[in-house]
Amino acid sequence: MDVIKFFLFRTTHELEVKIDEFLSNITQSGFLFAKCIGLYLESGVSEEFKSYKESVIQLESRNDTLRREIENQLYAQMILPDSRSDILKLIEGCDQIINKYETNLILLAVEKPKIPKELRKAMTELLHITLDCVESLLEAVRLFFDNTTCSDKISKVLFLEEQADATALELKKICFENLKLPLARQLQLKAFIYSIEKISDIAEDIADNLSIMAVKHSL
Amino acid sequence: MTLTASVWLAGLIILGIFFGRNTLTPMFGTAIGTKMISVHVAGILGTVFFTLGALLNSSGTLSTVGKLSFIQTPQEAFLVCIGVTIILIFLNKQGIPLSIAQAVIGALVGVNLFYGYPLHPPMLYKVVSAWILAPFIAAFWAYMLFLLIRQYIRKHPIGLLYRDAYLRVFLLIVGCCVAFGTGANNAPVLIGPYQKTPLYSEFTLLCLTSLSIGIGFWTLQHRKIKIISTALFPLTPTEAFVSALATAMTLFLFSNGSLHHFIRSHGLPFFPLVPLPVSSLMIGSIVGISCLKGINGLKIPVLARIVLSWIATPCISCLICIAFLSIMNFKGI
Repeated sequence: MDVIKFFLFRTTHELEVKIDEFLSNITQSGFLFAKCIGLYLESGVSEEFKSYKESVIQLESRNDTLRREIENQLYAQMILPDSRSDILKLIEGCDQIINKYETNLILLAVEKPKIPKELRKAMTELLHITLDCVESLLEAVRLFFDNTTCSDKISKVLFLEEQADATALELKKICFENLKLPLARQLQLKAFIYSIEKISDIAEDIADNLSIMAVKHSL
Repeated sequence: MTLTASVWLAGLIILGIFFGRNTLTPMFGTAIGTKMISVHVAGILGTVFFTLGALLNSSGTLSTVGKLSFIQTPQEAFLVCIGVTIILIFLNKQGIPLSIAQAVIGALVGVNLFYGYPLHPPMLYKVVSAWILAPFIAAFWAYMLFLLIRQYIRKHPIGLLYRDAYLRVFLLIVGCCVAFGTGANNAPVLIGPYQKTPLYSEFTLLCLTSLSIGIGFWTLQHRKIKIISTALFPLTPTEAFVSALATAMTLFLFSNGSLHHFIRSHGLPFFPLVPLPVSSLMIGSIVGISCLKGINGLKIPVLARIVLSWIATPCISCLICIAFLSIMNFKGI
């Protein structure tokens, strides 16, 4: 039976494997991103930081390739015609997350912002909330593809996004009100905080679309 | 068969081509409209299975149509077919799914009225009551099937990608079943005008019909597909599968001679072997699904327009046939 299923639905199986790899790469790059930020906060742009950054860049490049292959397969082989655009929107949205990881690490490596010690704890908290938000989103996406209810995970994403916004606001307040820093440095820090906060905003947008798709595809 | 006799068969071929253009929609229309299969694949499968249904399983409906048809000359048969084709072209241009079965039966009644042949009221009553009842039966099947499938999928979730893959296979299979049922149920009505003419055998007529329908499939109108699958009630691929399956099951009930005799022999209420408008079964099944999903989504004005066309079609067909025969008599043909 499994042999018949494999030969009859080989294309579907290949697509499933690609989507699985795509989502796994985002998870992996999230861990590497967190590791990179932690290393930067401790010791700046070290060799270890550069190594992890390169890994994230490679994962992002691999995900771009996978995204194009998934798009081609969806259109060329007429898989999921009714929900093709939904699936593509989902994949492209998730791709923005790994793009943001890459962009933030490159930003760190190039601009090398000096992050005051007063901000580090809150910054680490913001990072963890953002990663949890993305992980919940990826779990929701996997549940959606398994045709299982994902509303709990979507609710978690929305909650964590609010937490991320609140934490980012606190960070900005500390930066502008409590620390006596030159304006240029304040603005640089604000941009960096915003770039991490943006990841959870992207996750929230994807979760909103996902909740609509889940309703559309339910019987 | 002489050359002259062959020329009069052009009416059957022309009608068959337009029947093909109109009939691929109920068979595979929802699958094509939701882009699950291509038109060319549907055309090939439709032709093959229609032919099989016509040759293997149409004896019951042939007998019913034979009781209504008293046309003796190929010229009259040709005129009836041309009259029905004109109605088909007109209603096609209005974007209404036409029922060939209703148009041809209406034309046959017109011939009988014109020449004073017996109308066979019990048979007519069976045919008309089946036309009214069949969409409701299709709606019932669609309702129950969708309910069962929904319950099953909720208890045993299938991954989205695999659900799509299974649906593609099932839509193909059920489309072939609808094509087979259409061949068994509607091929006799197409050859009805020529059935009693002495020059042609039923086998030859059925084969010619299948060939002309195959040609018709390749000139399918995409607009008709849109009307059934999206203009009336937007269908998902799963709902498209259910509506096609309900149509196939209803066609089977009204076409299969063995089942008919089995039920009759046990003294149970049976379904008459009469030609049915396939598009009405599809519309009925879509209405059945909409009852479960929320009838607010059903576009009542579109449905009303379609239902009115089913009432008007046999009447207009009858009148046009009478008009053609009057002209033919007047001209002394």
